[in-house]
Amino acid sequence: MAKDTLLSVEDLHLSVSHMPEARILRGVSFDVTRGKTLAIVGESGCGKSVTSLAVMGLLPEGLTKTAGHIRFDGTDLPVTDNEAMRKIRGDRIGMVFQEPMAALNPVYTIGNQVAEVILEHENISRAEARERVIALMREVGLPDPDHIVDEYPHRLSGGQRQRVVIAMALACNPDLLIADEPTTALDVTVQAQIMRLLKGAQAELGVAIVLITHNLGLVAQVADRVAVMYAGRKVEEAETRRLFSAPLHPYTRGLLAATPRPGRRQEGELPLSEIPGMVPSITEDLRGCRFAPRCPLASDICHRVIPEPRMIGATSVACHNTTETEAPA
Amino acid sequence: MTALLSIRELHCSFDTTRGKVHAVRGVSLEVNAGETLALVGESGCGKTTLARCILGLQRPDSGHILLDGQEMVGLSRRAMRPFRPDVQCVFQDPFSSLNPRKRISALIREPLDVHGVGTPEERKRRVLDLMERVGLRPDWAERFPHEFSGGQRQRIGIARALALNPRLIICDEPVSALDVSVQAQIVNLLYTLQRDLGLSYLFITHDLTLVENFADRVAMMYQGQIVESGPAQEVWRNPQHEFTRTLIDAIPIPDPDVPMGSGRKAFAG
Ligand SMILES: Nc1ncnc2c1ncn2[C@@H]1O[C@H](COP(=O)(O)OP(=O)(O)OP(=O)(O)O)[C@@H](O)[C@H]1O
Ligand SMILES: Nc1ncnc2c1ncn2[C@@H]1O[C@H](COP(=O)(O)OP(=O)(O)OP(=O)(O)O)[C@@H](O)[C@H]1O
Ligand SMILES: [Mg+2]
Ligand SMILES: [Mg+2]
Repeated sequence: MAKDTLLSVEDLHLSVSHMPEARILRGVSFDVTRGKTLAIVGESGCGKSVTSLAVMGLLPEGLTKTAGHIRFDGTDLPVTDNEAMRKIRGDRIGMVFQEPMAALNPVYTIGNQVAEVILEHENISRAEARERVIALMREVGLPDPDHIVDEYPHRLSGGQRQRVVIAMALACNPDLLIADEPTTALDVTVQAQIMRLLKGAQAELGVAIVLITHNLGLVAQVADRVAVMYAGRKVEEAETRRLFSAPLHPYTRGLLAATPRPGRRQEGELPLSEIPGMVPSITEDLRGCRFAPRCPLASDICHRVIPEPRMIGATSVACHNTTETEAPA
Repeated sequence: MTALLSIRELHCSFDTTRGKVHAVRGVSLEVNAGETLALVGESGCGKTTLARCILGLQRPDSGHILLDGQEMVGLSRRAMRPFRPDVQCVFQDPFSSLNPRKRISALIREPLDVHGVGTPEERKRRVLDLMERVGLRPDWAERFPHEFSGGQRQRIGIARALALNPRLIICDEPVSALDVSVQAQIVNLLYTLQRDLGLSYLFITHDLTLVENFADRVAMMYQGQIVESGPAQEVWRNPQHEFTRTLIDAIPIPDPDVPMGSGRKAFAG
């Protein structure tokens, strides 16, 4: 493990407990570098959220890790030890989800909730904690922090609630922040503010970010690296600029082509470019590549043999048939 | 030429515990036959309320809604009935808008049953035609909604909306809950249907880049009012209203060489 690697997920396999043939993750590996942002993108249901839940030791009832290692800051994460994981979650790994209300308790003021997080991990007085909370609220750009601190969550807008959750996640100076679709429910203007806020926190505190999103625009703007997942596997990983300029996996190429972009529309053409077909279900037993049934490059071997990740240039890609020369300029 | 849909000075408000919420404040707009008008604006600006007024699900305070020149505001349910088939809708969350206990064939047939269209034999054939048109396999007809993915459920919703041969379909965030690749399939389907059937769309969305790729014209809604409208590509290239500029600047462009906050440059070309 490289010295600057903060989180390392290695060959992670997850299954549905009472249905071992329902394999949700089929060997996923990636590293997160200290102070950097890794984006994880991919089709709905490909396993992005369960991957992040596994890292935090919050796998839902009914899912089992069947193989793999998760190492954080040089040691195996004690994912089965609830007490130890709770401490790590508050102290070192913060999290932000799509729906801020799920992370907030409607019966306590937001100030008390953020203070609670601080008090659990630090030995300071309530009054000191309150001061810290007000300062944090100012940092995340909440209006009138001295008053908003005593508000209840339902009195805030969606964007304000998400700021509170981010304040909570940052309250203990975590080394890693996992954000799963943090701005999907918000307007573009609010989304831009939240993204600036996260990048600002990264620049100031050196926190590493795992950003899970469907929005390739956000990825282009904030990620240092991108991992692309498809049906329980990572199919490609590269530095952001490289992934956008020279995508290698046919799924990545299809995804980029299907994304709306300025000036793309040609008279008389379909508005967007499609990937034909559908993702396989988690129980579907394909012998080879799980993208093969939809793939324009698929050949005989793709239906028989699972492609292992390999390096082409500086990109890791799991495909039998792609070559660098095929990448569009 | 009269527009297919013409809205004049429409107002709609709600009485709430917080007092009066004036959701639609004097909106005027037109949708022509065969075109897509995108309605864009921030959360809570009144888009869905406007759509519900057009569908006859919400009574406006004042103003006019003309369908092919015929006034809809103030009509009784009975007088409205012959016009109902002309305007249909597709909503964001296909799951919550489909009755989970009904089979796909029954869901698509429902509007035909309600309006007593054709013989049972003809209805059955029509359902299969519709399923084929939206890309659903005919042998799925007897399945239930939960057996389908989000994109497929949206196809079911579209088939249902098409059943009565509407002239205008109001799409309220139809692809917001879908993946990029499924979104592309559904947007292309809507485009193909429009080309083949001459449909008009009022397309409500948050995705401003999609608007530029898909819509003919765009109307920008801000706090209950239309603040700017025009051909989509022109408005995106040269936005006039401050609100439009702020919104376009905030669009994250899928190109690492376009920095955050400079959306307008990307569209100016
Ligand atoms: N508790 C569970 N029991 C059984 N299957 C589950 C459970 N949680 C998730 N799954 C399945 O695991 C797969 C991966 O789910 P996950 O939520 O990680 O997808 P995702 O990539 O985050 O998708 P989205 O983009 O829609 O959020 C899906 O097929 C999902 O149905
Ligand atoms: N039935 C109702 N009773 C009271 N207020 C309502 C009702 N429906 C809508 N409103 C209010 O009217 C305003 C406009 O709501 P509307 O749903 O039309 O917004 P929208 O533009 O569709 O927003 P979004 O993008 O979030 O869907 C909001 O302030 C909303 O709270
Ligand atoms: Mg998810
Ligand atoms: Mg709405």
